[in-house]
Amino acid sequence: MTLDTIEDPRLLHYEIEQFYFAEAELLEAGRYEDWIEATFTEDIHYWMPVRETHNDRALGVRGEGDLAIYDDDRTFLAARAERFRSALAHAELPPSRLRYFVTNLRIEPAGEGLATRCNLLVNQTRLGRLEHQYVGERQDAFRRTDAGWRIHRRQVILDHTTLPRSLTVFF
Amino acid sequence: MDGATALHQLVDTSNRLVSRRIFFDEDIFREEIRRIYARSWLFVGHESQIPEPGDYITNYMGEDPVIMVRDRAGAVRVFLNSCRHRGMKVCRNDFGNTKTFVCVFHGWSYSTDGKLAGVPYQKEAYGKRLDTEKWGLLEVPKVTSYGGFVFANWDAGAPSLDDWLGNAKYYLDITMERPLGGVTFLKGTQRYRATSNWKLMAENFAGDSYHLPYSHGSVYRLNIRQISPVTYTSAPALHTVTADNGHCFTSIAFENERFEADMNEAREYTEEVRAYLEKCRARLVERLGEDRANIYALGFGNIFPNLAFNNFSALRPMGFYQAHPKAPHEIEMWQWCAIDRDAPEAVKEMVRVDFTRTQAASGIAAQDDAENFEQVTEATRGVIGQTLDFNYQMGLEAPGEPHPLHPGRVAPYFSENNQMNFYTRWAEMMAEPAAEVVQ
Ligand code: FES
Ligand SMILES: [Fe+2]
Repeated sequence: MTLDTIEDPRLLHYEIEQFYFAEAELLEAGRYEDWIEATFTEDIHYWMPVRETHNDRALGVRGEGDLAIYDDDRTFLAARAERFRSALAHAELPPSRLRYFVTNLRIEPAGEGLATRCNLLVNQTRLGRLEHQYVGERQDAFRRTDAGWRIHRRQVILDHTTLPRSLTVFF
Repeated sequence: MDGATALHQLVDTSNRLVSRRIFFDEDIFREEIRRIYARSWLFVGHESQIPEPGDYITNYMGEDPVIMVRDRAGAVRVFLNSCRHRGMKVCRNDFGNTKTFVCVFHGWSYSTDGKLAGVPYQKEAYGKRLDTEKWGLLEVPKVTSYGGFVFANWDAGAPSLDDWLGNAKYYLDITMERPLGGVTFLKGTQRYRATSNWKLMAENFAGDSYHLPYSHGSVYRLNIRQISPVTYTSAPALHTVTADNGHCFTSIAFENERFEADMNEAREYTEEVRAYLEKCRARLVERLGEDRANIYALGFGNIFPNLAFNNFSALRPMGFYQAHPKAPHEIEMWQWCAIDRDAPEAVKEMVRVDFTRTQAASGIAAQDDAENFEQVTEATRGVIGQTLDFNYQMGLEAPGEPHPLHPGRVAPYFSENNQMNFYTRWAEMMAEPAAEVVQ
């Protein structure tokens, strides 16, 4: 597939954007099991590297064998979802209020699938007075499945070198 | 808040009560930065993070930013990260390799041994009046590496690191010696802020076995391999060990339980992994003897004041954590994962991924802890809240006994002996005058 063979790039853009908006709705509602089902393939690799300050931009993003903030497969994402559903996960009970803002979507064909990048702003308000924003970029690899587009690799590059808080949110 | 009398009232060791004020009072915070952080052996980094000459990382000692660098001759040095001219931070990268640290304010440059090596327009600007010998980077006077762990102390008159660690070294040796290829830090430092006093984080690692079943209850219910094979469910096998000078170990098993649990788990893995575990244990026997080999992994604990660690198994991460004090109720958590460089690839991979999933800023254990600390702070910081004490009476009936084979005071797993050990040391240091720091 190349951009020329995509019949209407505007339609594709619309389709992927709707995918992200639907995903955001599930995340905002804390419906994590549904989120995993509607978003990812079975072989999803969900990864967020550590950011550090370095003159060389590329070196500021730690690599795959280095320390990471998220490095999950589908089984572990599901374990996280199960934990949040349990009445014992005090870190998210009562739940935080979350808003996801997904913008600047760019789509490139990649083999049979798609490679997308978009900007992400997540706002978390929690209990009476906690307010945190997380800012970064999603880099997703999409594959067509029988159920429609699904992501098989998500890299989230947050801009923070020092995170505002320990993370109880997905990106 | 000066003198031992006031401090004695804040930490009541006989009734095991600690005033909530020490977690919130601005004056106490300022004093502990002077009296504790400027006189303690503080962890600044691991040598495996700076293998080559010119390699450096940055860290904090208390509130002071420092650079740990391997100089051109290969020696590890620690400097205040502040230009001697007008104080600009001379190194703004978190890590890297360099020949010189060049201050971007007016361009003074320092070699990796700290010497002032270049002053722009020196002749025109200073003539002969600048004695460059005297204006090198301020070097931390005492720096000692133990098993690659670099500790530094601003107090030139401080006891040696060996004396500081005391009998804690007997236990720490196990972490240093078990890895076949030595403790190796993964690249990357993870940092996150938390609304908490630094001591709440330290005492949590020092001895809070009691919070595991409840705070982390949801984690233990999950059917995932990341859960330690020897947990609170095997509490009878586990012990609190109270060591010298405020150092603490919690969940020590003396009877080879942790090794047996590893071998049991490894039945599902390859022959290579089983052989690796046998080699780790054999190495411990050879280097430290059978009794210490039977301990095998330290569980979790805290080296006073703020180097916390956990390691439950040779198949689980060696995690190291430093709660940097930023304000009475604000910390920055810095954390690292170490592996055994010579472990089978499969083990290294497992260890790296497990750290991320459990202990990282997103880790399923770290998440619950942050909520606790934030809401302790919220509910305790008011003027009325601060009039109360925290209760550390768990263990009053079992203050710890000497062990026939191992040093320290040994008590049951559920105990607050270690927290009291930590606060006793804290009160001692707070009662002594502040260090006359360097120069
Ligand atoms: S502050 Fe560094 S050269 Fe002036
Ligand atoms: Fe905890």
